Amino acid sequence: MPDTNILAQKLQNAGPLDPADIARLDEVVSEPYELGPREDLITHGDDPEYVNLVVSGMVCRYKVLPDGGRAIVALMLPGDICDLHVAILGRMDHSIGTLTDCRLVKIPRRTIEDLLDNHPRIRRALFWSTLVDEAILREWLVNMGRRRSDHQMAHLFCEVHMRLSAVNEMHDALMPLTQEELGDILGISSVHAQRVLSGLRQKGLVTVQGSRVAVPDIDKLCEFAEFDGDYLHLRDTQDGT
Amino acid sequence: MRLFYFDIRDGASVSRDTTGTRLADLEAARHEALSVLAPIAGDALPDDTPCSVTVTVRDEDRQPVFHASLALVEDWI
Repeated sequence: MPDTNILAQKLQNAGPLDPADIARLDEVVSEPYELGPREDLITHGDDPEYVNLVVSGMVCRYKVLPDGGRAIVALMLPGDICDLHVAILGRMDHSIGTLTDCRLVKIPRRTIEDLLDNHPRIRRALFWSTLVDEAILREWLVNMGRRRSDHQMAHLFCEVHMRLSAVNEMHDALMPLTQEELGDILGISSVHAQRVLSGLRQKGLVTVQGSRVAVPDIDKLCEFAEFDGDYLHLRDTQDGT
Repeated sequence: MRLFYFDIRDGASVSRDTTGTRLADLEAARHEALSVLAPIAGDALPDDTPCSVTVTVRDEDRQPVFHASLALVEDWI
């Protein structure tokens, strides 16, 4: 479905949408704007009037630490709404910023409210996406506390690969990220991240060109990472549904 | 801010840093080098022994300025 907008593609992973739902989502995704890397969308304490949808590029949810460091606690990829809960919670308790060049769409709060009130299949799909975000956070918690750094990094790459594939956005390179950003995601220093990435490269599990990571054999990487993508709750990965 | 490179020898495997990391000064580079020794050694334990990790820091001219090692010693008694 090359003409389907990115939000509809993402939400259809939750279950089928009607043509009317897709037409409504087409209206929502109509006016993207562009932003360069390392720009903040919203910062801690803001009370924004709209939420951001990622059309292309990579966005992160992060907390700033007392020593000036940064902990990245979520990645938002094409089709992801960055801050849906803001429509309900109001004031931000963390910040959201771009990692790469991005195209985004600002969706006003009242549009979100309309989708929730008047479009039951979209409401269900948005609820699904919020639950999946929680499931990803659980997996990251396990990753950070209980997996070796090399398995943790490989696991992250597998997840990003699967999430990008689910919205037909998996192209040649997987992650255009610096060692520092990888370290901030995994909770390790950039020098440690460099060592771990170099180890994965030496094992032939990834290739690295500049700051772009590519995966020559995703099955091999998944096996190494002991990756089980069930927590992403994608329809294609579930039995017969 | 100055650019420092961190080469890491971990058992038989060597990773040479070609990207570098920007840090305030030599002391910050020393701090970074020391802080990665234990986590990198921890990645290999307990599967791959004997365990020793060495970090060599090079400055922006690629000249070595600091190095530090961590080695595990174990014996049955």
